[in-house]
Amino acid sequence: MTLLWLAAALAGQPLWRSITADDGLLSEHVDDLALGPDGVLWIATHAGLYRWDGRRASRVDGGLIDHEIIRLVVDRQGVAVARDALGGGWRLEDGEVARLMEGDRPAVLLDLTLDPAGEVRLLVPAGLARLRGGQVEPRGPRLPEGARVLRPGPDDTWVVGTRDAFWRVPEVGAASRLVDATIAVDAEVAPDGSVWTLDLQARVRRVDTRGTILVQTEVAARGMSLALRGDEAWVAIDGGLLRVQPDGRQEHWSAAQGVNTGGPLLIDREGSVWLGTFRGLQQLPEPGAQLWSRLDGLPLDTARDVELAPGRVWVSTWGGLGWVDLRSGSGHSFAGPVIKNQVCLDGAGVAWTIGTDGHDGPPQIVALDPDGATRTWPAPTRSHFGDGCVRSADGRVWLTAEAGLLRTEAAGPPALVTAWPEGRPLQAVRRVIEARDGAVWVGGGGQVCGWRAPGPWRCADLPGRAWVVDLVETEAGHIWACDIDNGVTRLDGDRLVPIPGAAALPSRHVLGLEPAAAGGTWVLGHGVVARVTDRPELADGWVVEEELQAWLGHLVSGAVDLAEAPDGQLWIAHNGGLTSVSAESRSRPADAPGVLVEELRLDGTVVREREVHLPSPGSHVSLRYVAASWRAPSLLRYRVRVDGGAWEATAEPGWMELRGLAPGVHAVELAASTDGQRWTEPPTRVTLHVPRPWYGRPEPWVGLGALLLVGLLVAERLRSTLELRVAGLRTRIALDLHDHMGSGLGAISLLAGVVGQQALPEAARAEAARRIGDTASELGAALRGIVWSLRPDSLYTDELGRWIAERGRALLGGVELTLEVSEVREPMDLDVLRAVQLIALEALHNAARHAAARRVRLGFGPTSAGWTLLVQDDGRGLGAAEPRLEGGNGLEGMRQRAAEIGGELLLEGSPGTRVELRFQPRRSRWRRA
Amino acid sequence: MSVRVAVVEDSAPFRQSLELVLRHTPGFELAGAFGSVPALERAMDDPQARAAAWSVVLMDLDLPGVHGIEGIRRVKRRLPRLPVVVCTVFEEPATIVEAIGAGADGYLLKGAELAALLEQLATVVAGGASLSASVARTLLDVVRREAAGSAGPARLDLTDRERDVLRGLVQGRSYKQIADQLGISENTARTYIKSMYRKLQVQNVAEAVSRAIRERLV
Repeated sequence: MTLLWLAAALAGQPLWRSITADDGLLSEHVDDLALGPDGVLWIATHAGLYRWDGRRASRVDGGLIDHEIIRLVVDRQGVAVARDALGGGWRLEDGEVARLMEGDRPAVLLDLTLDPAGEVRLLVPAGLARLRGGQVEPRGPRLPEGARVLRPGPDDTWVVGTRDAFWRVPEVGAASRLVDATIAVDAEVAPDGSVWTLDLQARVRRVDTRGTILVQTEVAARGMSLALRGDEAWVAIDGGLLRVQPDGRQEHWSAAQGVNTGGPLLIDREGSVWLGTFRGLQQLPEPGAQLWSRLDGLPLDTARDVELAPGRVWVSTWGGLGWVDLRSGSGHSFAGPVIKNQVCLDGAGVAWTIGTDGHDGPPQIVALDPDGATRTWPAPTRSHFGDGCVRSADGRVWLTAEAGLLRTEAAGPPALVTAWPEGRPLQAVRRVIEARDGAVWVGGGGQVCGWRAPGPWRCADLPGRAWVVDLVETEAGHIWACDIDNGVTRLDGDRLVPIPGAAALPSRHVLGLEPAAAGGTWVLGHGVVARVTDRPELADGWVVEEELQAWLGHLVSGAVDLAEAPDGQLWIAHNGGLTSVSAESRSRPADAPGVLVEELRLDGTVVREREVHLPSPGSHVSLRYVAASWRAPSLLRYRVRVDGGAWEATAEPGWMELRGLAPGVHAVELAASTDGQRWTEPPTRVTLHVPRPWYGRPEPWVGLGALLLVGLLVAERLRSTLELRVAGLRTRIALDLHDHMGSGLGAISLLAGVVGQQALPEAARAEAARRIGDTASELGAALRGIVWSLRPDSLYTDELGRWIAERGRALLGGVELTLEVSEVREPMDLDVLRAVQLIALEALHNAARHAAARRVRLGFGPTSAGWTLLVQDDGRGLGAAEPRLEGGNGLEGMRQRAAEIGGELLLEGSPGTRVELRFQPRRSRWRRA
Repeated sequence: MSVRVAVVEDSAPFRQSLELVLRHTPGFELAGAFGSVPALERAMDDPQARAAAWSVVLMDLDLPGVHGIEGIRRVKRRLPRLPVVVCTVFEEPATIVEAIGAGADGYLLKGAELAALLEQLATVVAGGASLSASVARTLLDVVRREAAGSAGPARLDLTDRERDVLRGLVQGRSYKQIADQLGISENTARTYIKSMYRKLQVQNVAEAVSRAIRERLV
């Protein structure tokens, strides 16, 4: 057991950020925090439940505001489950809140947590329970009496806290006591399987699975919550935070370190520590990064250079020289010459620089001895700024001054080694380096010049009017320069060529280049602290090996210099002061953030689904998305790919649109990264179903095909119908002809036989002879009628009218004939014409032969409903005119013929006979006008 | 006892000639002259017409409304023993076979000499069969083809309905018109048409009509 009482170890400032009402929280009283499966932060406050995606807080409580939420988890499906202060349980899905029920009664919850699979597990008075929809189903192992805390334990067990102890509870078997407690508050399982516990007295213990206490700390406070960040525990107590290492080392952060109050704790995927307080939500992106500024004793915030020395870190600022004591962590201002330039340590630990005697005094060469003594000599320069230095391989220090290049000596002032090349304005040299071949390179103005004894200087000019601000020799032996216009350039003969990869930096303001201990070069500037390796054979000219995750969350403004401690700790001078980043923080991998599709619009309309069916191929889809990242939004980068193709950077971060997608199913995948190395996995996916254009879909073609088929069938039907009609008409006429001729000739044959009979009375013989004549005459008339009807000119109503009138006049000689025949000309179908012709003939025959009529009215003309043929006589009428014949012969035939053409035959008789045929000249509907 | 002849003939000249012949030929008597089968049926149903006393019916085939072959069937249904002699201008084998199949007792062609006509009527009334010489020859050909197994018209086995439907098609009627005329549904008419196509070994209406006309199937 280890009991440690440690004071706060840091003097710099943790880099806290605060999320308050300014960021959209209606209440700054944070009750609990939870992380969604997509990495989004859920914040339970006194004024409702919020989701905060790093850009904005959106309220999603759906009525939970009415209940004081004191415990919140979000399952792997994104469903939030909460417990209120009265033990009531709530479930929030898609903005709909439902009360948790156990049977038909509201459930009472003691605690809730997520199991390793992301499923919600509940602690209820009856023991452990699962959640099925909105129903609480008690199910699980037997729990110790008085259980009030439930957390997942090691090896598929549960850690359960009671009033007096923490217990390890297996799914099957008896619970074992882990460690005593005074009202259990919280517990977490460390990666090594040990269990961290916290009780109300703020006792933090780390115990193994047998209950052996490995670490124990105590502060006089009230324990509130506990969270693990890697293998270290973060503990919220009232009034502050404890950071407890696995070995028990402890830091206590309070208001002096920017901690408002204690409260719920959460560690997000990026490793940020989140603390809910009574005064808002606090984020500590990287505990291993701390800032020293004027508040911590430095002369000014705007740091220019940093140099590591034994026990201290020198930092020159625009306000003078300061240092950080590495033992105490305290910051200090140097009292002596005013030093705003670079400080370089020689092999003996002496710090060399050029300063001034007071703020307005003459420039001085300054040597700061390790024992604290200060030596000064007049400097051969008029400038107070812009002079650089570098430690030589032999332990001495090169210094630049207006007169030229100086080198320190073991004793006495530095000596001028060489003057600047003639014709080159190198008076304002910013930086100097010594290459591995012993050459000294200086940068000043728009040029870079190199010199190696005893040779001459050789120089190269920067493109444009930029000023070189730093130099470095890369591991490949190239000289790189940086400026605030070209970014980073490489010396190539007598030219400085921009390195293409520099164009991708957040800013062209590259202010510093430093060799990196791990290989490569640190590139420093606005928004960037990156380690790159020189790869001239690649298109970018370099490869980014490391970007400073540890610093994420801190506003990067003008990093100008960097010093690297042997253990990997970095000290970065920038416009805001001096930041230290621990080696652990540098090496800590940050999960790639999840990408949330905040809004998907389909042709301008917001849709909630992430699998969308486009109404047409030309539809336009726009996506607004955001990465759930809080450490350094400025470093977020996005990429997208469609259908598993190559990843492409999105043209506009956070928004993209898609148009003209080919028909089919398309998978749009979005991923984000803060370091360009680790990307969202799995990517966020949106599925788009793009329909084929109408001409590419089978339906229209099937429909068209069906239409064509129907059309063909109809055409075929029409064709065959027409063919049939023609065939039928031809048959009809042939039959008529055959019948008429056959019957007529047969009748003549019979009559001739009668005439030849010897015993036949003369009267009968005469009648037979007369009938032979009549029959022959009728045959001739019938033949003419058939031939007439076959003439193309005959197929008109006026032609038929004239034919009927002519036949009437011929048959009804001696009868007073009234003709009412229309001259209206309409086309007629042949079958109609033939039927009307025969009906008219039959009616006229009847009137002429059987009716004994004196007057006959013959009409043929159009009516409102079609055409009418009328044969009306004043004769004996139907009933008297040889009924046995008329009833079965002519009338039957007329009716039949009328029916065949769709006409109507009306017969009236006695006195007189009226035959009226109503018909349409054309039977074909599709040909009717 | 005279031969009482009922004439069914729509051609007025021929009918009137027969009337004249029968009135003035000893041993023959005109029992009635009708222009259509329905007129004949009405007379047969009329007790005053004394159809049971008729000796023979002389039946034309191409009659309006109800075809003569159907007329033969109807006569035979009412008075099975009453002889029916066809008197027509048509001498196609299928028509002859169908008429005989329908119950015709004789098949005479118009244009025959009066004496031959009267003799054949008398033969039929006496219980014999009467065929015009050319009809007899045609019938023999049919029988020979039958014996040889060829698919002649006599082997078509068209049902009455199928023949009615075919007749409707030949007359240029639509399916619906045919169905209406026969008092059946259009689907039923189509069923008959399909069956008739199969028997005629044709694929469409035009072929069916063409074959019906060519071979005088209706």
